[in-house]
Amino acid sequence: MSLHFENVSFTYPGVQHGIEAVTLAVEPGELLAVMGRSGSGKSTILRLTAGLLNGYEGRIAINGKDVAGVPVWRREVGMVFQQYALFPHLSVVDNVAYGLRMRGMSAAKRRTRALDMLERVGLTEHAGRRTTLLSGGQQQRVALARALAFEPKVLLLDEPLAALDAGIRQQLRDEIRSLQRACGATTLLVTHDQDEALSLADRVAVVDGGRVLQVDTPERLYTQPVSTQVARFVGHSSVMPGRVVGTGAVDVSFAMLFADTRAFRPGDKVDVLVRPEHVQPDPPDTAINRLGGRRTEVRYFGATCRYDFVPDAAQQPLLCEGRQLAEHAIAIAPEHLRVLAA
Amino acid sequence: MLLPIALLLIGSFGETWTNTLLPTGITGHWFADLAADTSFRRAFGVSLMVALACCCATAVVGLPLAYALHYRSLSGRGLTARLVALLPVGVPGLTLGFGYIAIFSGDTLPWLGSLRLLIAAHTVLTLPYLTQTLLSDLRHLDIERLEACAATLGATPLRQFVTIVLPNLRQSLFSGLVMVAALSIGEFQVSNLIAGFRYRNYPVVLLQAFYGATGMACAATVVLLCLAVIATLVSVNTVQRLK
Repeated sequence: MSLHFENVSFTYPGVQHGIEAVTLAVEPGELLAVMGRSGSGKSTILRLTAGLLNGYEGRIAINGKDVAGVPVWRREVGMVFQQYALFPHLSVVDNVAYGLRMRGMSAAKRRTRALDMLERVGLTEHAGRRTTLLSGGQQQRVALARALAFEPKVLLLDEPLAALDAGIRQQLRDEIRSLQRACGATTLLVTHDQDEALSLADRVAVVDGGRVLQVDTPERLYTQPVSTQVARFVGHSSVMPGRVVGTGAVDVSFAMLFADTRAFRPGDKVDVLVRPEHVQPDPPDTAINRLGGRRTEVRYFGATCRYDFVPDAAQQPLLCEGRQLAEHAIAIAPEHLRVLAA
Repeated sequence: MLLPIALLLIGSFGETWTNTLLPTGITGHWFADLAADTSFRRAFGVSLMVALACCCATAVVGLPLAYALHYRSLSGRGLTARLVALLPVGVPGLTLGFGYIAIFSGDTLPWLGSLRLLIAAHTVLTLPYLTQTLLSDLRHLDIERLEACAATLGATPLRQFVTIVLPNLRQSLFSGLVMVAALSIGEFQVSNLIAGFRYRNYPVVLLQAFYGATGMACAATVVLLCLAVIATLVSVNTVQRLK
């Protein structure tokens, strides 16, 4: 089953925000993460898919079929809500079987199916318990089992790990991924957490201000962001404003940097982006893009360190990362500098 | 609070109580007289019937009303409707009673003294208590999220209401209805103004008993008190079991 957004716009009544001309495609079995800040429009995309919001322009299609006018309860989408939304008056197994009950499945069959789903998420022994007695991680597993039990056309995950402790988040992330793959569910994940998006998704859509900025694989999104906005949102980076002064050279006010500027003309205003792990500490004097300066703040992260390095004459520090700390100079290889339109 | 209750208990078992601090002698015949008194028996029956009908009416009206008010308030509207729904709590009983007399004593709607008017008046008086109890539970449960979730799982709006809203409101509905019944059984002010001779409820007959034998009046009040205690215990016990 596939999901397509074609030029979809939606504005909340009485306010100016929503989404604008969003075009997205989630292919069968794919997990697409929609990542953005709070208020960027990512949850709107999810709620429009579910049918919880109506009155949009454009076209939303599930498996090629336009779902305009199809009510929520007929859309066949399974949704995992941020705060689980488990039914407090039902047991764990009855929660999982709820969608099957709504489809008229016999009590015996739906119990068997619900128990099978609970086994997949490792909660068989909790089948008869009340959901309020489960931990946050267990509740989220029940919510996932419930959303997948009736084999939905599309699975929607609304910040599924946001309410959990950091410790359980990593474990559940892997569980969600393996269960989604095992069920082959076409999945739309909404999150503000870049770690969650990059590690879970086949592709990631970055949204801001109701618009999709870039849709790409996690690796390409990190290494080849199309704009400074995307680069700032995905991973850590230092951005240096500058101006192209010639073929392969950018003046960033405190230094002349050599980089690939083929997409620009001399005089163009640009942003030069560098990821912290690509900064080479204390390079030889002959290194290209060598910048003298001094190290300031150091942050220890166990396996690595992140530190600030202020090049001579620069106003802002550059973020650097590595086990070895730069003392007097850094260098950035031209291939690791990404020049973007300012 | 405990002193009047203690005095009522003492008075209900006292032989005579005239111009003394405490009654003299001990007897149980006031309760026997009360059981044999047809006007009390009839008033007791009327009170139970009115309370039961009032519970049914408030449940039928109060549930959808609270549900609608909850959704209106979510969209930032419904303030006027909420104020109107709360009005019977703020308006003095006398005002309501005289209003009923003005409207229902004419030939167009000659319902003054009828059982249906007594039930309707009690329903109006007790409805805000039930709706407020339900509204606070609806807010606490975050019911719209549960309904949205049920919808994604295939539940139509009617099935969302029946399988999600109603079961989750059962505690507040039950405790609200116990409150409605207790208020209806103890209601005096409006009932005294609109109840005819045929359908006098228990508190109205009780007041008249105080003009006669004090012991019997005390015994009748103790019965009312026992009903209130039983209602509270049943409510607490049932809510505990439903949790």
